[in-house]
Amino acid sequence: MFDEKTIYKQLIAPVESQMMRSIWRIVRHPELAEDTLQEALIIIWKKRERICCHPNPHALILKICLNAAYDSLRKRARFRKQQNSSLLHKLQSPSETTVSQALERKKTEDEIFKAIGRLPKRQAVAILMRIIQDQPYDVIAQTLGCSETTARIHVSRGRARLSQWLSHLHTSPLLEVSK
Amino acid sequence: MKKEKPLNMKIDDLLKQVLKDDLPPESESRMRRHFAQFRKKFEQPDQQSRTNVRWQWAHWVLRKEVLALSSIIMVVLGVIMHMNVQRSALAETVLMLRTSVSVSDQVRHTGSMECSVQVPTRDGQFLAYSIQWISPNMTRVDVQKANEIDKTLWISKEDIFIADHIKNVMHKVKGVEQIKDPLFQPVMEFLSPVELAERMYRRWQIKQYKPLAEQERGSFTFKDPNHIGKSLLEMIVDLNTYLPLSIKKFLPGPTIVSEEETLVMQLHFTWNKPVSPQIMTPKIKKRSLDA
Repeated sequence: MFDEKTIYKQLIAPVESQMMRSIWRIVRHPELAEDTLQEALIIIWKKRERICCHPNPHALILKICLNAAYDSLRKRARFRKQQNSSLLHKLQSPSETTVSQALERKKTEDEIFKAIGRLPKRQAVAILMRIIQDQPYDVIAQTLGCSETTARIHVSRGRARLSQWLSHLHTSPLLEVSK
Repeated sequence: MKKEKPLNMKIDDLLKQVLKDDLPPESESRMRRHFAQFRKKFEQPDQQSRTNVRWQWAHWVLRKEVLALSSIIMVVLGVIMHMNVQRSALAETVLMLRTSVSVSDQVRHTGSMECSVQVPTRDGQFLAYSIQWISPNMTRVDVQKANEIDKTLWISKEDIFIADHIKNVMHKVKGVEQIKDPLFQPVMEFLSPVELAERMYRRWQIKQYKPLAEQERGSFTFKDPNHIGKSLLEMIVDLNTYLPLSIKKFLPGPTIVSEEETLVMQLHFTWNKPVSPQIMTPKIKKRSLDA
């Protein structure tokens, strides 16, 4: 089980795509996403023996990716200026016809990312596992190393906080545009 | 699974829209390259394991238990080496020279010296000398025969006087080199601590040094190559003060110096004892008148 080739083949290779996508969905910046993936791979390498012994190693690997992405999200402010420059490209998308719509959308996204970054790490990871990866509560509990009830509490509290902080966005044009 | 509340659904929808799965193909290919590089590390297990073995070895060597064990072994070896009687020639030479330098240095820095000298005569009697020296460089030498002082030599910075107490005469000598009286010749090399230190340092050759641990004393054997017959000297030093306690001068024998060798002079030293400066004033002892 601890043969390194087997570890990669059986544990990492099947979730490569999910790892990339989980990181991208939170970080949303090409270079930062690559860095985050590197960091996640280093952590996975260091914890490989623990991962092998885990009852759900794939979920644990994806949770490590979310952890790394959450850390990057908090550092993301540095990249916001660069992201603004890419906004011009987005303007040309058929669904967003005006500059004001694009700016509004960007502002909303920033607020949501900022809110996720404000959540305590375990709550943030729990809610991201639930929403992005559609993980059931028992798997979230396994990867966080807590009971299922505690996992539910993390998700519920995270949601409550986000609802409170983002209440003004429930009627956001972001939702309307996408609909 | 329970149904999510409508409010939760709203926030979930909002998050799902913002955190949408739209990984650009360029980013995907670049991230796949990272996976490929990472996979390479797994595919080169030999090199990896060699590095690991090297680091594991270094890690093992630096473990606390190993370091503690090696320290204990080194301490034990040190004790064994220290207790070993047959010490290395180099260690003995270093000890000999270090002790010699310490003695020479201590002798130079004394405040006073008293030395009683016994020189055996041909008739089986002893010629006795009493050398008293006080800083700065004042010496008195009394020559005694049958417990009576026959002659006295005073040496100071200014003058040198020799008094003959039998003849009741005293004469002045210009320099130490002018002291021709054969009676004083045997003790000329012990007239002051500086003289003794100079002899140890420049003239005498160290033949042997033996620490006498039970008495905290050490024994030097010197060879005096300039002396007629190349005499041998045995000096006992106090290892607490590094000052000489006694010197025995022998005529050279075929073996190492011993009591059975021909003893030509024996000296006993007392150091840093208060000496009255009055005794350094040249004065004839009117023995004949008193008698």
